[in-house]
Amino acid sequence: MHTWIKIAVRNLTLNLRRSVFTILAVAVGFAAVNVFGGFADYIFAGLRDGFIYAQGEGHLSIFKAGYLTEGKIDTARFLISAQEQTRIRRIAARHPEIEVVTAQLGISGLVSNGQISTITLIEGRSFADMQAMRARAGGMVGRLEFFTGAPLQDDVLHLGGLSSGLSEKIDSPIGSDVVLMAPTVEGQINALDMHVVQNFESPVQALNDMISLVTLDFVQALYDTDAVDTFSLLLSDTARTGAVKTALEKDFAADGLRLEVQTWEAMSPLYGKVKQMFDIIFAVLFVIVLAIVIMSIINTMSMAVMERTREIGTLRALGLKRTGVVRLFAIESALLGLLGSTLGALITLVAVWGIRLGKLSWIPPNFTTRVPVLVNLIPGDMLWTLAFMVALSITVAILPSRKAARMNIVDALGHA
Amino acid sequence: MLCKGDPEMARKLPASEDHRASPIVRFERVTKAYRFGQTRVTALRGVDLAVDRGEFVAIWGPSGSGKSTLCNLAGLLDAPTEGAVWLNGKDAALYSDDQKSRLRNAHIGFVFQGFNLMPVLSALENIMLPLQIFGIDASAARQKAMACLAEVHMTPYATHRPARLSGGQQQRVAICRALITNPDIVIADEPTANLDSAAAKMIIDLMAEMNATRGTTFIFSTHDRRVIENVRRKVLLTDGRIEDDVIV
Ligand SMILES: Nc1ncnc2c1ncn2[C@@H]1O[C@H](COP(=O)(O)OP(=O)(O)OP(=O)(O)O)[C@@H](O)[C@H]1O
Ligand SMILES: [Mg+2]
Repeated sequence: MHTWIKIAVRNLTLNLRRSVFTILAVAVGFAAVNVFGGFADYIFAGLRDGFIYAQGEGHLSIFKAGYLTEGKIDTARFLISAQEQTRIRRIAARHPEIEVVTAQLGISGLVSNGQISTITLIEGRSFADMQAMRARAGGMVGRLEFFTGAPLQDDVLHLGGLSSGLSEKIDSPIGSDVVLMAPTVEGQINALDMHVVQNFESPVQALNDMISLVTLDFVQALYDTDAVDTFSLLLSDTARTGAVKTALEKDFAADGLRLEVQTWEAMSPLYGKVKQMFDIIFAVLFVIVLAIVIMSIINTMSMAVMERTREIGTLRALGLKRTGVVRLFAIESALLGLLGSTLGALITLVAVWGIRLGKLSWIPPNFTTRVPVLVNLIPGDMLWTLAFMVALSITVAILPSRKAARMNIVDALGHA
Repeated sequence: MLCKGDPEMARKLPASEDHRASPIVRFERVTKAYRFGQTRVTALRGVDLAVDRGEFVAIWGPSGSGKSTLCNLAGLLDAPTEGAVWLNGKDAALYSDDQKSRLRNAHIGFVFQGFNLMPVLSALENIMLPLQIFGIDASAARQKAMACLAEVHMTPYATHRPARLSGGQQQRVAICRALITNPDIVIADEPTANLDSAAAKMIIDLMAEMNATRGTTFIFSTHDRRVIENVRRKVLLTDGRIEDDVIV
């Protein structure tokens, strides 16, 4: 085996220029795939952490069955009563991987600045719970605040925030007072004063001129209820999302609760779309890289085979089997793939560090602050790419070398 | 003695039972035709020939008479169009390609007109190659190859690549490579055609010496009458037929 590697290495050095260009093609392809993959991974992680931690939506959302489709119109039918809330919290407590359990209530109503009023979705949250979620975020994106102004507090009922579009629409910037109006569960009109202390961007751009954010107690007082419509659960490990979902569904059913459990992937409005888009871009990039790598290796290996046809004839005369000839060129090609991938890994490292040092930043959709542009280094993916490149190189080398190995030996020997 | 036989190479192949009694190579009404587009060229026309163990045979004749074709068939590099080539008492047509490769590796040595050394390997490594194709480990192969090099007075050139050797030196390395596996027969098609007359004489003398000391059978072709003056058996080919087969 050693002999064949030696012959392969020496032939590669003999045609140094050609080998270097092929290795570069593989390396650039390797780096392109991995840098883009690392960037996509960083973006996905950002969207995921933004949704789960920064927006405080958690890994799992629980609501009455059917709430997602009909709940926004007829909230009253899908309320989770105080007694059910206790049962849910008790069941959640049985799962150690659930770290934060928080309730939400959202109703629709009107917001008025005294002169004009407009429709609004009033979201009630526990800000202590949201803070607890944010504190558990691993990445920096999860700890970002999405608002401008002051934070909200659970124990100061009349402080609230408006989405930036809404604030503009009713001409009520930070520091102004508004009135929130909504029918109670019983159907009577109720109204409460709110002091605007913050603005934020809505995760769904279409709702950016509609949302008011207040404490859970505020909404419950306005709606005259102690019920909620959604529970958000934060887990210790994102990878456990599916397992906990299944376990909870079983537990709820056993307890007679007709509840629906959804994962963050299903709930996040952006994640799925962005992932789909990136997947398509990645597929296109991958096909281009694949084509370039295959063409350059095919070119190099067919030239090598052609130039060394007489040598192949000699080796066959000396008793090398057809498979031995194929193996010789497969080794040579595999080395190109291996060296190219190694160089590609180096280029990837340099690119990742360069981007880190360059301190690039951008404002992603729905963010109010700049976040750094980074590329995640994914060793597992790089190993896979390497294995793939080597396998590809070998496959590509088999075609021309097999043809030469099957040639009539006398013809091969007579080859100029 | 050059490259002494060793147990490893001794159990190299299942040859037929009575191969010691039969000729090493036997041509039985061999015809070889090449198809070149529409035209058909007949290079050998019903050749009968038997070469016994230990013989030193020169195939000579004018250009185009079929010498190379005969050598290629004897070396199992090609198959006859009609008739049969027997090696060690067995019809070569019965072997698979892999079996023929194995046979060439262990039982047949080749010396080419153009030397055909691997350009990326040193003289020593070139000689080791057939042993390594056979599967013998590098250190044993190196030892045997060094002994061969010494035998042909090429020890100082062991690490030289072919490009840095003269034609005569390259051909001496090639003879070592052909003999390293202790083959039954060495096929040399025009081994001296690319050499000046002094080097040519030295190569023929070297082959004759190996034939005498080790009993290795040689078949070599040439169109140069001068190099075959002292050869015992001369086969004259003209137009694909054996015109004369003299044993002195
Ligand atoms: N691959 C081939 N395709 C077609 N014709 C061939 C082929 N090889 C040999 N021939 C023809 O067969 C005949 C015998 O050729 P061969 O090479 O055996 O002769 P030779 O005696 O070795 O000649 P030389 O002294 O020139 O080497 C010639 O007419 C040659 O043109
Ligand atoms: Mg010839």
